[in-house]
Amino acid sequence: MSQAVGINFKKSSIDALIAGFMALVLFGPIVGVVLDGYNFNAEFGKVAWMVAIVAAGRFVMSCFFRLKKAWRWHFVTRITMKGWRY
Amino acid sequence: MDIVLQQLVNGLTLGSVYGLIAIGYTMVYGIIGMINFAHGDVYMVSAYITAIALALLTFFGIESFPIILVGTLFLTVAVTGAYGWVIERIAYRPLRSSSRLSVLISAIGMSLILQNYVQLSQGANQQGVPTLLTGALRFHVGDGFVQITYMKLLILFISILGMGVLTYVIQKTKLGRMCRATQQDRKMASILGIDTDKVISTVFVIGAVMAALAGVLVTLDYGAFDFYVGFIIGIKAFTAAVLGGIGSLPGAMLGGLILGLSEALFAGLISSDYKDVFSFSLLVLILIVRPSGLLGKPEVEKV
Amino acid sequence: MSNAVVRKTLISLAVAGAATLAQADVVIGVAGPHTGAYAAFGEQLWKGAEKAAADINAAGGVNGEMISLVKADDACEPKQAVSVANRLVDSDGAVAVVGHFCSSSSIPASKIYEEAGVIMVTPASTNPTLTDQGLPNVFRVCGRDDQQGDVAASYIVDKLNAKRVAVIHDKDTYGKGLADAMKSTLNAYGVKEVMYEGLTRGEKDFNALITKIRSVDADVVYFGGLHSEAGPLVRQLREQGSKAIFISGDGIVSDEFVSVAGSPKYVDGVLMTFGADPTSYPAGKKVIKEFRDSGYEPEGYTLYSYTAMQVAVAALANNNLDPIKGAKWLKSHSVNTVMGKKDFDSKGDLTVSDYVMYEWDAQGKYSQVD
Repeated sequence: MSQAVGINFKKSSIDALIAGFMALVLFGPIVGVVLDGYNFNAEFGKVAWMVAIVAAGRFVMSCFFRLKKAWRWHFVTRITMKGWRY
Repeated sequence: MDIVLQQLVNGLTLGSVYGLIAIGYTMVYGIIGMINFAHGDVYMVSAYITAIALALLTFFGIESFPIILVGTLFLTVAVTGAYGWVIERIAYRPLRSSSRLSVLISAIGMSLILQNYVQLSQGANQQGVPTLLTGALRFHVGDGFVQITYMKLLILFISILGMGVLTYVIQKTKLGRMCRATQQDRKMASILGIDTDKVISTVFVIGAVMAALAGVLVTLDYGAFDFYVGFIIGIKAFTAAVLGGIGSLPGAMLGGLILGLSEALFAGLISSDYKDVFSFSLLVLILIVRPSGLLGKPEVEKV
Repeated sequence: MSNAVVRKTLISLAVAGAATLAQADVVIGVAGPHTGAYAAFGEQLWKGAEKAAADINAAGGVNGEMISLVKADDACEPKQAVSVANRLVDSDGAVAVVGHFCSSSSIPASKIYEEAGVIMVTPASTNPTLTDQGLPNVFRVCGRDDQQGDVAASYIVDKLNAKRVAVIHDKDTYGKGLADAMKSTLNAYGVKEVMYEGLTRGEKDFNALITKIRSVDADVVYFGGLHSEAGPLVRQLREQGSKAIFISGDGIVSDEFVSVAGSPKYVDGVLMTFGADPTSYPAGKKVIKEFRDSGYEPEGYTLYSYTAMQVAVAALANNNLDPIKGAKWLKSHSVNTVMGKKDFDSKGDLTVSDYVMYEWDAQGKYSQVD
């Protein structure tokens, strides 16, 4: 729960990479490989989109929570104090 | 005679599957006192991943059964474990210090999300996997025979192995000590330097991994599933966990076996129409005599 | 409520009303399990109805009005069927409905359509109760389970000469109704079933039940239910080494039956009753060819759904789009469809039933048994 000030692009990028990787693991099989009988159809485009959305979202969030302004929002502190670590 | 023995074999395999899934319910309940309604759906996800892994492996031209089995197990366990971790991270951890009810609602929501997510991405139709392992051991008893297919043997073997490893981990290792400490008193454990969030995450991953084992085995054996398959088996496994005493690890395994055996014996010897009625009546009876389940400890109300 | 608000509401109502009048399409609902475990059948229904509507619209529509289809998803659940039926008649303003699929959905929904005066033509619900209720607006373009059960029972007695028959059902309206119909005909032939039991829909482990089937030494297993349970059932039956002949009804008419059973070798020899090959009618050749050209094999209920749409449209077109008159008209007039000429009796059933026995082969395809 670092009370950091200012945007740290390096850290946010790492955050985004990790989130993107997790999204790849989760969505890769279920969304990317659509079963069709005993065979499958690949839908990797969809996976790429979802991973990109997750990574981008995470990057934005990660940057946002490093701004001092964000901490003024009561609900944000409520969420973050209870276990969300940034 | 052969029929009774055969039903025992049927019940034993069914029960060990229930036991594997029940572990997820019981460990999560033990450690944070919530019922993880999404657990049945984690099982369902693992069934899909099994079929996907099989399809991928056959696509890459791998044909030998042991490699397929190990590959499928590995992939399914890894991905389902990730699901367990992420579910805890996004649906339960932000609600860690809210009331138990909110977490419960969050769990129900997670269960619906998982079902609909799989339905949307994979389609709502029935899915199947090809039969890979055929053949069976047959024992002649009287004028009939008792048979256990190799797949059923594999189910028994892997679930016993899984439960054994888990028991060892919980009883003997540092991680297990941390789990047990967190289970007994989360605040005290964290004061003593245990990262309880990490421990809780680990427990969710363990639960998901056990469900994944069950998912691989059941999917390979029965070969049929859809996005709704987690519901019934989840309810049954939850019943098993309650039967054995929710929160108790050996209780979950025992509860699973009792539930599986009672279902098989009742369905086989009396009537399959009312087997669920019978197993739930059994649950009621056991809870009347032992309100905290067979091996459960009476709960001390936490203030 | 202030005047201004009232005025605004009135205006918006008037605008909304004008909008619906301006569209003045003939709204026809296609109700079935578009999601859920039986979505494969819902897709068959939709494909057939969609094609029929497109063809009719291309030929000038219904008395000049275009058909617009509304998809209504009941997921084969009676409760959801009632709520989508209400939605179809209230907010969508449907004048006819093609559906539902499951008998357990069609029966409760039919009452709502009756109250609203909407024609209901089901392509697939075979439970006798549906038309035995005596509702004036309900029709079906498929057979009835008692006819289907007759065909199966006489096949078991006459062709298979089986004496030991185990009857299994899935405790659902369709499955149990079919199994009961088969059982009563079987008993009328003087054959008493050796076992009569239900299984739970949604479960996959039937080993206990199968061990019991083995223990009563059945020659024939008759299953009333759908492919999602029939697949695991037949697979586990074979895995336990039983050679009993597996017979089921029209609930397993889907390629998914093979993939769910695990391998085509398990469905080899499975028998099922189903209407005489819907693709065999000369009137349907063109439609079938167009389906195949578009890369879709019109299997199972697709053509039934097409037929149901034609029946509903014929009733509307000949009666100035009045569904209540149309329902009366259907009972005394025949309709030419892609599955031949269809006549309805006073209950709304087809006057001619055409159930025959089909057999699955080791390639996972089915063909008529002669």
